Amino acid sequence: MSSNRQNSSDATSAQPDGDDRDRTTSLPLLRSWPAVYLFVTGAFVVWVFLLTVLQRMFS
Amino acid sequence: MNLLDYLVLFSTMLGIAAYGIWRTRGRRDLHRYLKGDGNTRWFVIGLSVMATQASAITFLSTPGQGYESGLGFVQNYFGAPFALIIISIVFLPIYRRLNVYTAYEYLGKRFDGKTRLLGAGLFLLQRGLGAGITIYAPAIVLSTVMGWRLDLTIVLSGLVAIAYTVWGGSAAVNVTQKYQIGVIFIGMIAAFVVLLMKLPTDLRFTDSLALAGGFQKLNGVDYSLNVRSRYTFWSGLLGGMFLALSYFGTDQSQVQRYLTGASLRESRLGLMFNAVLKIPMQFFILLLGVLLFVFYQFQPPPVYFNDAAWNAELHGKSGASLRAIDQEFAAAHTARKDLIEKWVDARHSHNPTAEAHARDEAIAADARVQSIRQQARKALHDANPGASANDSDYMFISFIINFLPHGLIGLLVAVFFAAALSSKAAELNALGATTTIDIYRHLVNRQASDAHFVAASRLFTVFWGVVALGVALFANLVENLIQATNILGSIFYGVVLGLFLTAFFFKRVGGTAVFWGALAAQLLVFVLYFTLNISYLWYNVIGCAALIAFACAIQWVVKRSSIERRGFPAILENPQSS
Repeated sequence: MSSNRQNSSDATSAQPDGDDRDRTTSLPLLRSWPAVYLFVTGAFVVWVFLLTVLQRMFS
Repeated sequence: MNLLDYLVLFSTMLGIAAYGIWRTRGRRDLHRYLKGDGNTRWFVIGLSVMATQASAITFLSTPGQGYESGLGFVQNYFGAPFALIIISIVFLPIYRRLNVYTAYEYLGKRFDGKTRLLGAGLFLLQRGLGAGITIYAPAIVLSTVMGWRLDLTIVLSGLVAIAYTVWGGSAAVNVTQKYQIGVIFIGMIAAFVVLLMKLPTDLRFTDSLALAGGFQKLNGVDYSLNVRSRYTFWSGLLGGMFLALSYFGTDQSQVQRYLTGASLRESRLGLMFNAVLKIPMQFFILLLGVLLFVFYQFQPPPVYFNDAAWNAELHGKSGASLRAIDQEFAAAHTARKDLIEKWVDARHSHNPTAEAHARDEAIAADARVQSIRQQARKALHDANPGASANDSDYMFISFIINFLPHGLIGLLVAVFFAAALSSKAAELNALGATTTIDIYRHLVNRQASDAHFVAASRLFTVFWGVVALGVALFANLVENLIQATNILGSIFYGVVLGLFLTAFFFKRVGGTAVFWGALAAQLLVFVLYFTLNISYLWYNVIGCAALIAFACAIQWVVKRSSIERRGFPAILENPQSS
């Protein structure tokens, strides 16, 4: 068990990579990561909606 | 193909490969060889991830799938955006923080050596076998249509990919993929535009969609809960998400692409680029196939799209019956065309009753056409049992050869080769890296210099390239092999993903529990595969869930120390972070 704990500890305590520049997206409108993920989810919903509409309109 | 086509094809393909070699010359340290210069921007990462996933068969076969079955296949990708979000939040920061070369190196750090070897071994097994198919599948189609020698097509395209991957490593793959995907986009858009221009002038775009919809080709979303149906909204969303999580999150051919990013932000944005574009890209390729179907309602299609296979038997002893089928098919097509023109006229005259009537008649006429096509397939198979029963892979290339202007034909053939080389190079790069880092450096030689490991990585890349060429050259049952590769992937991906999800979210579970849990879950998936009849996407969910459940149970029930004493050779047990 101890070697496992050691490994788990290794897996979380290696070199830090919390660069400040990684916290923002540098995108003009979607500056935070939650905003980007929300945008991706929104794009998915729009695509499924459009596919459903296309199917209903022309079937 | 004429001289202009060959000029376009060879200058595009060899030019991109030569540029990749020149740009990445002199790579001698391991980090730069396996991860590039560490300055790759999100746009290039995004294109690279996209190019790795999209193989030549994607662009050859998917339009044929759209032609025959409509848009339904797009649902396969519904889970991808959510999988990419999870990878971006959970997987990616850990890989970058630990500064690993391969995804399986993380398993060694988190669990132990044997779990790392299990993950790397499963990857090498499925990707190593699949690597030959990446070259063979497009080569068999292109050589048949173009009349090229199959072995030369395989060897030449394989050698080009091996050359620049061995020479420049990961950076060469990135550099070349950027231009290869550019060629792919330009070629596919050009084909789409030409196809639209070739439709009858009095046929509006909405008429084309109405015709496609009438033949059920626009059914892109199926909300039913039928688990036997291959593509539904739910299997795509859930099964597709697990498949995408496993492929993008744990398959080294993808992990290596986004680990080349200049920063966590660049890698994340590269993944989000794909999360947004994956569904529309697949939709666009399928729509191309759907419009090809509409095009062939007005233009006489061949009864069997693999002309070479059909014509070969036309002059044989079954020639008379095949010619009779040809004539019957031509008559059925003309009858269907007349009814479709009647349907379009009814639409234009805004007469819903006449439109519905004409539509029903056209659908009945189409059933007759499809029945003759089935008859043709059976007759061809009777005449030559070795002939493929499926001609959908030949539909798009047949259109390209017969209806595109010279120059564009060369560009579209370059599209298929670009796609083949880009995915092939990424696979070889990942196979070489995994063999070097997770097998050679982990088990054989831990202390050598960077130059030694770069040389080893080059050697292993050549080795896997030769294996891929061997599989491609000696594979003559392509349909079975593609099916076998897909089955292999769906059987193993769930368990591999389970290893990583346990590592991320179940901190109390140790290496031995997860190792035995993985073996038990894999056994369960095998048993279910041979006893159940469900969509293959569900095995990704089952394998993953079973591994997590078994690993947690084993960890809880068995004292870990007693298991390890009768376990494995020390070298496999020894966790190390090489």
